[in-house]
Amino acid sequence: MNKRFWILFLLWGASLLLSVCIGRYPLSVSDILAVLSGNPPSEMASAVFYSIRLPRALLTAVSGGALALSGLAFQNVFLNPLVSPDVLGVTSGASVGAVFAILFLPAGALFVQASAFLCGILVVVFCIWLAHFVRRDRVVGMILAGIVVGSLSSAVLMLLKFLADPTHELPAIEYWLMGGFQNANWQQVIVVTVVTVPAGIVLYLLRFRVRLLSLGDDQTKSLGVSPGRVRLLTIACATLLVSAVVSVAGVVSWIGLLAPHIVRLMGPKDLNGQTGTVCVCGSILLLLADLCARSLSGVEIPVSIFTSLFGAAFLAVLLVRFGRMKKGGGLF
Amino acid sequence: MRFSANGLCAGFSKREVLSDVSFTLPESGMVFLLGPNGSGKSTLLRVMAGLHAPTAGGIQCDGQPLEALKPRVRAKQISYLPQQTPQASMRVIDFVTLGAAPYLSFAEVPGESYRREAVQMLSEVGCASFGERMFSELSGGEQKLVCLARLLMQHTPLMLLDEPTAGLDVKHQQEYLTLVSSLIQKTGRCAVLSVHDPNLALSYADEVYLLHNRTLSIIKRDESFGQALLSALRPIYGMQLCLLDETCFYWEKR
Repeated sequence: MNKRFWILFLLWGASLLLSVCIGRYPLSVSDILAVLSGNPPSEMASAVFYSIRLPRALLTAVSGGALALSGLAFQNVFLNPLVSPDVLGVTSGASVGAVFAILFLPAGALFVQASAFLCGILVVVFCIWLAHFVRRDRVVGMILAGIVVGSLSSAVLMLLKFLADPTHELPAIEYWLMGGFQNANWQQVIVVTVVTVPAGIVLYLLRFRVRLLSLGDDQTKSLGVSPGRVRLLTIACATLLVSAVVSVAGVVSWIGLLAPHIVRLMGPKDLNGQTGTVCVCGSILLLLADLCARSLSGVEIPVSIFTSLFGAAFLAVLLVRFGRMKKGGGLF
Repeated sequence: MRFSANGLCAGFSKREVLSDVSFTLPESGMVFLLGPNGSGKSTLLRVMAGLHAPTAGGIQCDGQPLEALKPRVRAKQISYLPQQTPQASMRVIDFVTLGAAPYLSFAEVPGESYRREAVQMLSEVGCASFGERMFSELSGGEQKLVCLARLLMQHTPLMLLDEPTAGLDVKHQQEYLTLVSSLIQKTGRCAVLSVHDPNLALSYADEVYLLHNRTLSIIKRDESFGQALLSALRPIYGMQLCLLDETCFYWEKR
């Protein structure tokens, strides 16, 4: 592990602590220590900590790490640093699933969650099936199929919104689509952790094989490794990560694209061996975005507003740096 | 390793590129694959690497059909370098260690011993100081040399190189081929290289495989190698191709 990782790790600890402390019912560090040691200053402090703050902070932290990791995986598979986890339509698929559940399934967060999770995965499976017809260049095939599937999902999404009752259902849909962790509970923490940790471990184990892909398919094959299988397994794991997060939090944009680039900006041109750093970076980003979302005003603001703002600001900074750079330097 | 092709036919959906091609590679030596543009050199190399399935005929690798070899086993027997250099944004040392892939299990990451080996391979190709640089920031010629080091990490008895000297300057071309030929003499391996310059074949080849009109003719090095090569090349390139003192081809302007 390197210095960069430990600096980010400390920052991560600080963000997690802030996330637990700040809120409508403020908790001080000593309150938290007291709660943890079993002598809560009040019943309220204990309840706020265990059933509101802690699950929310953990869920946000895990989700941020998962989104960052899936972004990194997608960028490695597509050999393109501008790819986000949405290229194959996970997010739009999950959105369709969630909206479908809001409209047609019995009321209940669990239905929305399950339906979003399954639809996200289904849409990616469909996308990969569509892409397998393109024999010539697999990566281009997948990107094209992703465009088809994304367009299809947004058509269905618009249709569902059109059919929705504008007084009750439509606001619920829009609110879900903007994302947020306001309903965080232990059940969600457990579900997301159970899905993302194994998927993340598989991605970590695959890290050397994924690097072979940058040699091109022919050379990867001549090294005895099937590029198709590596891609499929990576995409499957990355899709599980995103689907799990989106199913509990709604659409959380930009983290998957942003985190790897922020780490790149900190020094390493190559993210080999930086998997942990990227995860922690994504986690910090989302913790901070969620902190802004719930504490800047009296009402809960959708978290994607802040992640999109971060994304826009970051890209603008990159753009200006790129403009100042001498000829020949790359944007990334 | 004994590597032979028998009645090989290959091509793309509408166009046959190779028809009834048969040969047995020497155990050790440099085989130069010559032929005009579009004559099927790359296709033949890809078929030999097991990347392109022949439409008829087959390849025997130590008495076993090539397609029956497990990919990992094949990767320890045959290494292949395509014409295009990949776009990889990683450090040169990491790039070279990718060549250790056939020797690693599923989740294994190349350890210190492979890194040391990569450093050694880099110095073999004369790029010892490149390790920490980014592969994508090297010049085209330097990338070719690093690719060769990556290939050497595979330790295969057969190396297939598709136009390895294209884009190299005169000096680097000669150095590249001298390097490959000395490696081959040292370790008794076989390399098949496609080139366009018959002069390179004249100075380095043990055998020349000439592809033309979908068929393969074989010219082995002997006392009249230059003349034999000339009479084989003239039907393809025309009578303007001439040979000077058995050592150098040149083009006679009219």
